[in-house]
Amino acid sequence: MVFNSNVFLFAFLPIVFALFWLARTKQQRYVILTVSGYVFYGYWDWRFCFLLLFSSLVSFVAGIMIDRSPSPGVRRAWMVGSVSTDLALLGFFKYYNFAAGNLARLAPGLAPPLLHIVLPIGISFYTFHTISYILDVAAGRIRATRNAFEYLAYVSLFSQLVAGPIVRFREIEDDLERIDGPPRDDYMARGLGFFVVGLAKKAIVADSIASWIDPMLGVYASLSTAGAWLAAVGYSLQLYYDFSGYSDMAVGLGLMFGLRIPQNFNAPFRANSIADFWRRWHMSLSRWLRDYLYIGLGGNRKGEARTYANLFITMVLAGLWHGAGWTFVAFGAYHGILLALGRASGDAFAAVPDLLKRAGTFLLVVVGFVIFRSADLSMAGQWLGKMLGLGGGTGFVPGALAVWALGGLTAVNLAPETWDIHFGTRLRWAPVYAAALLVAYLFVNQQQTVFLYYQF
Amino acid sequence: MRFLAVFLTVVAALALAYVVLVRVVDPHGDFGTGVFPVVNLDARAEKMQLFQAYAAQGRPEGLILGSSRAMKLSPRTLEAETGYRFFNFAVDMARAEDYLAIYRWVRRQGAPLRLLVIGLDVEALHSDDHPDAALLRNDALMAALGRASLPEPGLLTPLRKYSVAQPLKKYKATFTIQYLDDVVRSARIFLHPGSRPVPMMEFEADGYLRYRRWEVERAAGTFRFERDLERCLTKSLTHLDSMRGLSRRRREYLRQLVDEATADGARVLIWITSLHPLTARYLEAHSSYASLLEATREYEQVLAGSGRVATYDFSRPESYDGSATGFYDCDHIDETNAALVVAALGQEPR
Repeated sequence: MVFNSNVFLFAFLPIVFALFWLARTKQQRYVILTVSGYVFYGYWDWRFCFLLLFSSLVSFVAGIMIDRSPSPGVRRAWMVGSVSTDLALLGFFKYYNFAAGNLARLAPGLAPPLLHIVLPIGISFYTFHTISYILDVAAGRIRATRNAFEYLAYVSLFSQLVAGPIVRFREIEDDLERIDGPPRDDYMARGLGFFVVGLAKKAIVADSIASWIDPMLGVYASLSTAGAWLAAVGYSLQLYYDFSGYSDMAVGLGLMFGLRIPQNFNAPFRANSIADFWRRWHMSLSRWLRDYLYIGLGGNRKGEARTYANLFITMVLAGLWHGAGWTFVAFGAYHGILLALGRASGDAFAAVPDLLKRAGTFLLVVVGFVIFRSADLSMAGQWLGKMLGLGGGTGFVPGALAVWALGGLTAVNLAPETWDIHFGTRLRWAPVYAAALLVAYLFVNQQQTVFLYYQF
Repeated sequence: MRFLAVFLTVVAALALAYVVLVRVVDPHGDFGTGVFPVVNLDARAEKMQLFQAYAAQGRPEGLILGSSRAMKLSPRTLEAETGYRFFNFAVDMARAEDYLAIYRWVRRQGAPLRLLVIGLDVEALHSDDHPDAALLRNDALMAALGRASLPEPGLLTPLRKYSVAQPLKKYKATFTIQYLDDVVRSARIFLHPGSRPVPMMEFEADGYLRYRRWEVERAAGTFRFERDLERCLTKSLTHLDSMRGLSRRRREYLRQLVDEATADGARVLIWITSLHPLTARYLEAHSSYASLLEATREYEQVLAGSGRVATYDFSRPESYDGSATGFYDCDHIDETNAALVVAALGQEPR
């Protein structure tokens, strides 16, 4: 089920909302959130609900065992067991065929057979939820919850289940503990505001840009140099509006249920370095990778060379997290190298005007997204080549896309990020949100699409 | 919750106001208001009206069925070739159930059909079994087909038995930016009658399609085939992308149509419609088009095996002496290729 579908907007959301606020106790609300999360997830394929449940229960039990056990060895065993289980599930469903396919090319005799594996939607996200929970419990940052439904509600929370943001238990624990409180008008107003803005970003901007980009990239061999640049910039904007729109809707939905979901985007195209970009883009993933992977690898505590290596490894794995493909590996490696170079350059760019740094960072990011969007490395190579004027085709350059790109670029540089909007909570704002919702719905009902990050 | 209550009340009020607006302006002629000009007619509904007017002047004995890829077949040329008075009843996004529904509806109008020319798209036998929305909302065609024979997907399906479901679905379909744009266009033409632009496409009295805007562009030398090529290719791919094989149900509809037509004494010609060579290559590279086309050919042979049907494979222009220049876009032939198709249909079937 997707947020911009009729079944979600007119059936699922109103029913769950009504049941949730009619319920009075914490436990009732946990149960409602859990069941609704599984219905939301199972609408895609009910069989994978069992996988979600299994992963959740393993980490729930492991959390309690880690909390209870006085022995560091036992605690460590439970932590390693639980995290390994999560990684094994993720590895099998997401990377088995990728590994087997590549091994078959290198050593045909040794390669295991390819399997018909359906990638469970959202597995990359909920696996990171459960891993962060276990690692936080093991590190003593949080106490393991004894309430199974509280934990199941956290993992299966429909607003963040399939495409994030990656919410850590400690970030939402307080709200979950106070979930039996009465509805708050300010949360409701801000929640509606976030939801409507997110829906508009997705349905009006991202999907309109996509309607031009997808056909162009369908026949990328015919892209002209101008077309290649326009497609690259257009896709970068599409991805931002699509994913940040989704994240805004998730935040809005969370607020409607009294839960504060953390910020996931902070005007990323205004970043003045690649490191700054990753502090602003998919922030919940960046924080997760920093805290559980980069620091785990030693961070910057083990000398310069090791720091560069850690940055590179972290970003390659970040790329691979997005999908099992060499383009994602290349995307991660590209950003790893840029981060290492940025660190090595020190203050070399300090004198460069901010606007130039911002423009340069944007160009580097756009190049990264060309690799990210490409179906394979050959496509990435050709696309980048065309951007450099090599092998440019005669493909049509749609003027409408240029207008969208120009408008989008202006907006990402000048318009406030959703989190910077002061959403009015007085009653007089309600008609404004209502009108905006209706306009966004006219686009939603025109053509229903899924969010780009659903595939990860 | 006061904020939410006000919000929902305003949403409901605005939605109601929008419904009143589309009901009054009625830019697609869905509600029969008739005050403002209709700017975008549904081909099925429009051709039903045209057919009734055409039949009043002389009953057609020949019928052209198919999708928009068959709309350029000229009834006049076919009449000159066969001596039968023809009507082109090709409608956009036609699937096998459309062919059968239209045939039955035409028969109910009392047309003594002698020759049926069916332009068969590979997608007409799509495995998804989803009928086009325009067919679902066409009560007369649905009645001709028999509602019980079709799956009717959608959120409101369980409510269909209640009379409120259909109107709801009809109004829900108007909540799109395209529909709102049509409302504005209709109102503008109403206020400034001279502002009506050259329509993209228009049907003549015998159902023959004229691509008015492209004709004007060709005459002016401003027509560019490649202008919308990428979008057209992607659209074609989208239609085929989810096709997993030939639908059993749709093959049955086609067989049923052949059975009924031959039982009524009509001869049936089925031709696989033509794609631009670029499109064919593109679809072969990105989808299962090649194997689906082969399966369609095989099924055509099965129908031909009964001895009551003549079949042709015009999937490639060279098979009827057509050319790549005889296309308006990636999958719609122009009048030159269409005339060649008609000429080839007159030859011995393979």
